[in-house]
Amino acid sequence: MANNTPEEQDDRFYRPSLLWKAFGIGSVIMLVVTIWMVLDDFGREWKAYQTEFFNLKEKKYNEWAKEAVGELDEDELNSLKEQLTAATKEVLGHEKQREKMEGELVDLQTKMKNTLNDFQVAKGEWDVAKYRYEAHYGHEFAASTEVELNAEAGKALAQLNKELANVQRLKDIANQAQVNYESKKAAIAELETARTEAEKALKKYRANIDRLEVNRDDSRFTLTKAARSAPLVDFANPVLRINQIVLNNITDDLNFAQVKKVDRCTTCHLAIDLKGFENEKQPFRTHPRLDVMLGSTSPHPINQIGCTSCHDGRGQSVDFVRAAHTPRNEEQKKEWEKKYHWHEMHHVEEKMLPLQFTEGKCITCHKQTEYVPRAAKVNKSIQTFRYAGCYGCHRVEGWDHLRKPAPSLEKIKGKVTRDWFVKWVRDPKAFNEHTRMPQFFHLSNMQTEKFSAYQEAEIFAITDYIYANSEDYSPNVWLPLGNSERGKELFGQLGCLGCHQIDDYAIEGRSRFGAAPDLSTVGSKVSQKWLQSWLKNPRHYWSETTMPSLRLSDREISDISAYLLSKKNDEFEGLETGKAVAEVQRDVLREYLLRDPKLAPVTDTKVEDELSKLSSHQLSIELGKRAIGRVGCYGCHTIKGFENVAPIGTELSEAGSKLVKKLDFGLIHIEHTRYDWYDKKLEEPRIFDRGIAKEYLDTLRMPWFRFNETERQDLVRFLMGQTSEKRGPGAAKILDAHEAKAEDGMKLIHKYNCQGCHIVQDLYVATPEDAPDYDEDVENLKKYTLEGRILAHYEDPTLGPPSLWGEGKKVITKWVYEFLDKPYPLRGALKVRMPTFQFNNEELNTIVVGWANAGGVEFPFVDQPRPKLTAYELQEAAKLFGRLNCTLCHYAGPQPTTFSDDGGSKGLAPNLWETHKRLHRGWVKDWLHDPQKLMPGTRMPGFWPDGSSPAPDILGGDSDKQIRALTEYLYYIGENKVVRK
Amino acid sequence: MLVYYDPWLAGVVFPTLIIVGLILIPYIDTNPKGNGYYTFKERRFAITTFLFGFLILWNLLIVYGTFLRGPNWNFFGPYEVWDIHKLEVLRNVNLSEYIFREFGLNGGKLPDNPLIREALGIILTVGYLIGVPILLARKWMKKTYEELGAARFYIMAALLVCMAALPLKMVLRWTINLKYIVAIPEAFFNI
Repeated sequence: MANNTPEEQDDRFYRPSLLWKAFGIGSVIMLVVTIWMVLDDFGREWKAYQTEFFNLKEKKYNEWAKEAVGELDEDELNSLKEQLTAATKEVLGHEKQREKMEGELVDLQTKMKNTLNDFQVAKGEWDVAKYRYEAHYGHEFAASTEVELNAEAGKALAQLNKELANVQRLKDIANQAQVNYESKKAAIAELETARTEAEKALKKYRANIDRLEVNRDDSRFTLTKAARSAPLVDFANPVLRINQIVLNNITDDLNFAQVKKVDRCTTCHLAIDLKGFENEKQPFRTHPRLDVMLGSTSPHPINQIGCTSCHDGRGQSVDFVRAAHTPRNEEQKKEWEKKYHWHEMHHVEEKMLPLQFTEGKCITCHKQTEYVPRAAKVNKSIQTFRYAGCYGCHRVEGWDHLRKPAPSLEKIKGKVTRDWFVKWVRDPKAFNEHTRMPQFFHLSNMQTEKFSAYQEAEIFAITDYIYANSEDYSPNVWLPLGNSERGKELFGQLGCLGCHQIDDYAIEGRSRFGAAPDLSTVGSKVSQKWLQSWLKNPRHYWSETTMPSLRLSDREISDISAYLLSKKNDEFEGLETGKAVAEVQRDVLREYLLRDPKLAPVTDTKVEDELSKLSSHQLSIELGKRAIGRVGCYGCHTIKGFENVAPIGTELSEAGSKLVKKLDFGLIHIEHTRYDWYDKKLEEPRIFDRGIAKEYLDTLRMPWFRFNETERQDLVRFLMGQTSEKRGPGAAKILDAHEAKAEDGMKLIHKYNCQGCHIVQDLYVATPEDAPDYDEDVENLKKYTLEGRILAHYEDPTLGPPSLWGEGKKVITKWVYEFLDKPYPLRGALKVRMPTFQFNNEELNTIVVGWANAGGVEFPFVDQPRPKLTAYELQEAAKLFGRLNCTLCHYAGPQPTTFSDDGGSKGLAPNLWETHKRLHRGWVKDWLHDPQKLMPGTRMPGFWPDGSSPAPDILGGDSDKQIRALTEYLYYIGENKVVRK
Repeated sequence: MLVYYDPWLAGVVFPTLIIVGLILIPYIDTNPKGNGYYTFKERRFAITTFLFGFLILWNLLIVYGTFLRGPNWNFFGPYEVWDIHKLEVLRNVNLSEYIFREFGLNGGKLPDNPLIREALGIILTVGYLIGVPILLARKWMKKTYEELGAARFYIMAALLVCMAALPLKMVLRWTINLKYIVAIPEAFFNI
């Protein structure tokens, strides 16, 4: 080959040597970039977390293993070790014999295997011979009716049978060889029994430690593990890998397709369902309350509920920012920006909910019940939404069964004066800062002179319309005013505080949003006659009220009315009512008429015609009707003429899924998220009108509730749960027949606010003290905000209304039916009074059936047949009754009607004469056994702690016999009216 | 292949070798004879090897496997009824079992150490993979060896013995019911 350079070899239009250089440099760059790309692609942040977690886990297991070692009993361990040494010595004693036997065992094993092989070979051959015989002769015989075989076939069959005998023989030999082998093996094991047993005992004693140590060693991030996860090798079986949970029953909505939800959060949140990592830093912290969430025995195991079904966010992403983590406040935001280079994921709808709103998602699955058991935060949200009356204007799925949240205005004429009404509509909070009636007029977007005048015109017009459409009402009670001081005392004692609040009995956290109005200024509102008539029988004024009758005597009515009428708001009474300006009213009505579809196509002449037909009073009423329609008073109040008009608010059933771009942020600069918008809207409903030029009738209409930060947070949490996400059976809580009946009962209980006085369900469960947001929770959720509100007024809650926890298991249906219909004092010494709710028959049945079903018992109750008490047992039980001093708290005889205030405990517990009518026998036995278990905090002592008897001389000191006899005795004294003192 | 070899061989190693081998053909066979005209005389070895691989090992086996293999992977002649009850003795024996059990070496007992147990199989396999190419080079295909040069020839020879391994194993299975030449199930290593 010629030794020329390429340039010399050929004519070219380029210089190959330059090209080679370019290619050379290019390929080096390419190589570097490729390596860079691989490394960059390989070095994901989750891998660093997983490596870190290996170390953390190893450390933890090491600590626990050491702890466990420390807990071992040194002596016991040593004695076990000594036993093992002794046993080993003993075994070594016959080592020679064992060796010999093991040699024999090997031979036996070979024999066993070989004979088995022989048998299998023979069996295989015989099977084939059988098949060939059948294939050859079988068809022939099957087709003919001859019974006899021909000679050839007979011979073949005989041969076959002969071979079968051989197979059987080989099988016997193989089996015998196996028996020989097994027995030899057993004999060898026999020699070693002592050692094996000692080893087993030691192992059992150390089992926990061994387990921890195995876990620790598994958690060590060894070189092998690192190698398995190295680039390119990691396709096979890497240790660092993405964990994902695929949910079968929970789907993501990908427009026209529901796709199984896939959550990869556990790729980094590695200890989320492991106990023992509660105090580690994120992402290695255990989820709070594993007994409720994520734990394998909890109602929401992690493999069924995943993560983003509650938290939202992009579950398939394993990158901190792209998973759409959301900081809970500014401080955290700053921290994240520094630490994770966090930034808002724009255009991502399913951003993670800030932690304070997460519990709202409970509602997405728990739509069939009004409240969610044990979810204190979300229950607070639901309660706030309910008491603030949001559902009056905004429809929410599942809330249609509720009555309008505010009183009917059909007889308002008989209740309040026109002046009061005008001032109240103008500014309700001026009358009482704790009222839940929001302010509709003179808000931030209506501050111009023209708009102010228009609003005044509407306020008077609304008043005219309401009064013109109100029926007359004449109170039917008139009593002189009594002692105000005594009235105040009664107000505090009888149970009014279960629903109402008043400044004289203020407790911390007094809210605007309760089950019933704040009465601190009621004296400036209603007349004496009306109030007394209302106290006597609330249904006389309003047939649908949930206010019960407390069976007040005339004297009590006099006293309480004297007290309540003394609660005045002088400032409010001093306010000017003002006067309607007919001209302005005409102007406003003109605005309405110009948009009236009935007049379309509208002309000025047509409008003027309409206006000229009306007198000034008629005009005011007509304007009132339109104004009520505009601001939506009828959403909460029953108003004549608006019976079938849909409320004005936007439906909120899917508020939590509403696209952010569909929310009008106006010109206001806030974060573009759903919860920020809702929060702002709740804080200042008209704010999105700011800077925007609108006509009077186009302005935003939502009234101002003056929600504080906590209340807004509660409401936003509620809204975040109202999503369009589909939750089928298996994911959503679907009530079974019993639960549905129980829930029907609960709905009535909530309607009549029984939970204002009684603990009924477990709506409140305290946040554990070690939970990270404990402080905040305790602040937000004072124990008695959800149930037993009145108990907050008692230093000793056992002096308040009793808990109804487990009532279904406890009381006999017939009794509870009668008691709810006509309550009577059961624990005479208690001052608080069970009111008469005037339930109708259907309501009574629903509550009673609901309770029975909530208690998980058959309805109606079938009581066990009564076992007879022998004369001896009766005598002994009576003795026991005296010994246990039951009558210290209980009456067992006729109960006096008045009780002294001497502080004695007599009468604090139910009269035992009631027992046979009232209680289920099985419950009484359980109750005597352990009262604290059935009703934590009860005054009733447990007399048989740990099954030991307080009276060893009665009935042989047998606890079970004593409890049975005492139970029977309680039924006996009630039925036979035996008085015990 | 899966009938005669373990999945790791039949499913991973052999297919890889087939692909690599096919890629390598133009680099091994640089003989320009036969370009543009048909000749068998000048390309006896190349054409025979190709046709054996393509017609016998590829097409013929597909045809047999499709038309002559019936239920339970039993062999059925053309027009024979495919009787699902048909039985054949299926007693496949490892080479080591032949030595120690059938011929009674070591008192009929298989040694515990798999390397000793499978020593003969290992020697035979290694011998086949290394010895046959050397023999080919030194003896039977001396001329080709000279033409191709050592590197090309040994690559070619290695591919050739691998290709021949399949029919060899098939014949051994049919004739002496051989299951595995080397059977080390302890390490999932069976040939």
